[in-house]
Amino acid sequence: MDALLLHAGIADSRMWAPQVEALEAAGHSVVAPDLPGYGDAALERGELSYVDVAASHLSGPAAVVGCSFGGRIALELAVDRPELVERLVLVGAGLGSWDWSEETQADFAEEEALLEQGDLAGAAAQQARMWLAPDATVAARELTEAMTLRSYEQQLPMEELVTATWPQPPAAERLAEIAVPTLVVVGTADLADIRAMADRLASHIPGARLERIEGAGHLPSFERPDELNRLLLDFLR
Amino acid sequence: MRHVPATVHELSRIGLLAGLPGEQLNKLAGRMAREEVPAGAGVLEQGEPGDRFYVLLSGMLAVSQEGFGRRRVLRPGDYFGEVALAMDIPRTASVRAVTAAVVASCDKATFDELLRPLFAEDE
Repeated sequence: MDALLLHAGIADSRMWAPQVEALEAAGHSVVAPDLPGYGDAALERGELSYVDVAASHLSGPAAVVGCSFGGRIALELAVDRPELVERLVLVGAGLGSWDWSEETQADFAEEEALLEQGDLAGAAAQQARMWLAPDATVAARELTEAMTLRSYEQQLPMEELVTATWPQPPAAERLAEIAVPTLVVVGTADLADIRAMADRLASHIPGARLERIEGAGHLPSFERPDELNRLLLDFLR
Repeated sequence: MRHVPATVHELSRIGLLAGLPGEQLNKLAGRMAREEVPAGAGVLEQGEPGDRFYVLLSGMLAVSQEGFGRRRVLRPGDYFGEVALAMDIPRTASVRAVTAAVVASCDKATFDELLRPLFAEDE
């Protein structure tokens, strides 16, 4: 099966390395692009539709796997371009709009303050602390910091020059229309907000299955790669 | 796709090339073209004639062979394309970019002059 892997907003395609290995070994044909503004993919001034970008990597129906921000894109794609999505996997997926808890808002504000001071490395480290499980390995922290730092370098100079556009009405209001087999995955150590989003996705998408990965934070793809691989291989069989 | 020479620094990180003397590595760098490959794009197609040897500088590539379900993934530092050149046969596998990737490649004459001996030593 063709599989499109869409990375998180604190990451880039490197977050999927363990899944690329496992899925390709099982005979799936994987594409894991860097989204514009992440990794090696530069932003261009003007309007940017991440849903169109995701669709541009598909030549036909595929399994679409998205984590966090990539999960939001996968969700919007499943609603807006259902002919392209054969299976949907939402890992710690974001919903377009959400009433974030005060605690999470305080964390976002801390990141913003560090960025305003020009402390990009400090902000990246803060993001790793915010999103990964407390017992995440040094390697997981370093990778998260490197990917987040890279996204700042790509995005901050272009901040005022790019406008992201999304399908309307948003997928969050159209979850009942999703008719493809859907797997919702969330780490038990992810933010309470994200765990609540997973509950909502699983209860509002018809037939969706919810799986929790014990001890994983927001990026189970490398925090708990074996567990996520097992779920993916089983679901895409 | 942009074509620019590879750098000695980039090539020195390829395990296979670590044994090459500096002078030869310099020569090789001048003759290897660097290419950026977008995610999802094909690099080699099984059955096609093979006339270049490749090293992977960044990104991940997948190697597949018709009839075999299992695929192999290449990571930075890996190389490919040597079978068709060494044995003078069509490509024995297809190679596709999983993520955006950067490869460097050289032609058969360069492979024969500078790289073929490295494979002979392996045997």
